[in-house]
Amino acid sequence: MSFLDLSKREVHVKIVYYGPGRGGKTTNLLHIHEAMTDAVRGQMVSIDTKQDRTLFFDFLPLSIGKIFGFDIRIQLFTVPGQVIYNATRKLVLKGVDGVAFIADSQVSQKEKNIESLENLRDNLADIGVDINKIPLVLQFNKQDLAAEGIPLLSEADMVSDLNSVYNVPCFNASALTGEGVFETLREISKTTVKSVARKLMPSLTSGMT
Amino acid sequence: MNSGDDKTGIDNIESMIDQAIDDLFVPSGGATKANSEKALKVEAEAAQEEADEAIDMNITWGNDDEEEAVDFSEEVEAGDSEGTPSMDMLRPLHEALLSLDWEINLNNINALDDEYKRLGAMTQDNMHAQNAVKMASVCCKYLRASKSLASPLALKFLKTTLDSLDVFLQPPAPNLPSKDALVNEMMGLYNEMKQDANRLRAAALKKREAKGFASPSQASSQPAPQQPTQEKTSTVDLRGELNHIKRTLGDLIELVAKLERSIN
Repeated sequence: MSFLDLSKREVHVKIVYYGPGRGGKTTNLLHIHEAMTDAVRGQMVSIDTKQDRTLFFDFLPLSIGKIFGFDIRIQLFTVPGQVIYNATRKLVLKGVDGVAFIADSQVSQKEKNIESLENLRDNLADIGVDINKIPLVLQFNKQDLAAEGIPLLSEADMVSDLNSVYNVPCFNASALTGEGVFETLREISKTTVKSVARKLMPSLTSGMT
Repeated sequence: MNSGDDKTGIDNIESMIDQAIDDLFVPSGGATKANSEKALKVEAEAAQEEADEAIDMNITWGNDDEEEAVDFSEEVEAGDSEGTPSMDMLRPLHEALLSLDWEINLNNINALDDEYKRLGAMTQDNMHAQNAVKMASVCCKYLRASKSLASPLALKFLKTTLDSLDVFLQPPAPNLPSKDALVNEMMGLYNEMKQDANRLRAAALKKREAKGFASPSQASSQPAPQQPTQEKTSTVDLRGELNHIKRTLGDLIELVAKLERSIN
C-alpha cells in the first residue's frame, strides 16, 4: 500500500489507471503530464525488469505539496490493457491505493469494458484488496467520437454496465481533447489521498514536530 | 491524542487535501500543442488498428520469401568503448521490442520487422544470426495478422531471440553459452508458440461461433438473413481462415525442416 518515508517526510500514494486496451489510459496520462507544470510533475518513465515478462509502464509522480509537514507524492501508473498482459497488470496493481477505471464509450467496446472491470476486481482480490473498499472512479472516455457518428453507449447504459454495483463517481471524458481528464484525476486523487491519510493518521501525527 | 483530537485532525487533513488538490489540478490553459499532437498520434494509431480489425483473425505463418534486401555496406563492427558491438547493434531492436511489448499495433510490428531486416542485412555471414532473424521475421508476420490476439509466447520468443542474438553477434568465448544450444532453445520455443497459436485460434473460433456467428456449414444450408455486415463477412473470413490454417501448417513444416537442415 502507500509508502511513508519518515526520514524524507514523504507519503507516496499510488493510483493506477486501469481499463480495456486502447481505451485511452495512456492518452489520459499524456494529457496530465503535458498540462502540469514542471514544478509538480516528474518524468514519465518506462521500466524493463529484465525478467521473463517486460514490465513497461507510465509513471507520473506528482507532488501536491506539504500537508502536516509531509510531502504527499501521487504516483500515476497505467497498465497494458491487452488481455495477454495480465501478469503485468497484477504486478502494477501491487500496492495500489486508488484506481481510475477508463472505459471506452463505444458500443463495440461494451463487453471489453465489463471484462476489464471484472479482471480488475479479480486481480485486486488476488492481491488481497476488496474492490469495494478501495477508492475507485470511472471515466467514460471517447465521448468526442459521437461527433464523428460513431455509436456510443449512453451514460445510463455505462452506469448500468459498470457502476450499478460499485456506485462510485463517474465522469464523461475525451482524453484526446482533455475534457474530463482533470475531473477524473481530481476526484480519484482526493478520495485516495484522504483514504491513505486516514490509514496513516497515527504515523503522520507522531511524525509532526 | 484522544479520539476527539483524531477527528479534528482528520477533518483538518481532509480539508487541506481538498484544497491542495483543487489548487494543483487546474490545467493551465488545457493541453499544449505538443500534447495534442502526441494524443492525436495515439488516436491515429488506434484508428489504424481499428481499420485493420478485419484481418485480426487471419493468422498466417507464411514463409519469408519477400525479404527486403537492405544494403549496409559500411562497417558495423565499430562500437563505443562503453558497450559491446553486439549491444550497440541490438539497441534499436531492443527498443522496438519494448514498444511492441507495450502495445501490439501495426506501427510497432512494422518497426520491429524493419529492425530485423536491418539486422539480417548486417549479419549475412553469421549463420546463427540469420536463423534467428528469419524465425523472428515469421513471428512478426504472425503478430501482424493476429495482433492483440497473438499468443503471449510470441513476445517471449522474440525476447529470447534478442538475448540469443546478443550471443550470436559476439565472438566465441568460454563464458558464453553454446550458439547451437541457443538455436535449439529458440526452436523449442518457436514450436511451443506455434502450438499455442493454434490452440488460441481454435478457442477464438469457438467463442465466435458461441456468439452466434454462422459456421460455414450453417451458412451453406441456410439462406442468409438480413445480418449486420460484420456477421456476413465473418463467414467468408472463417473460410479464409481455414485456408490460411492449411497453408500455414504446410509453410511451417517446410520452414522447420529448412531450419533444421541449416542447423545440421
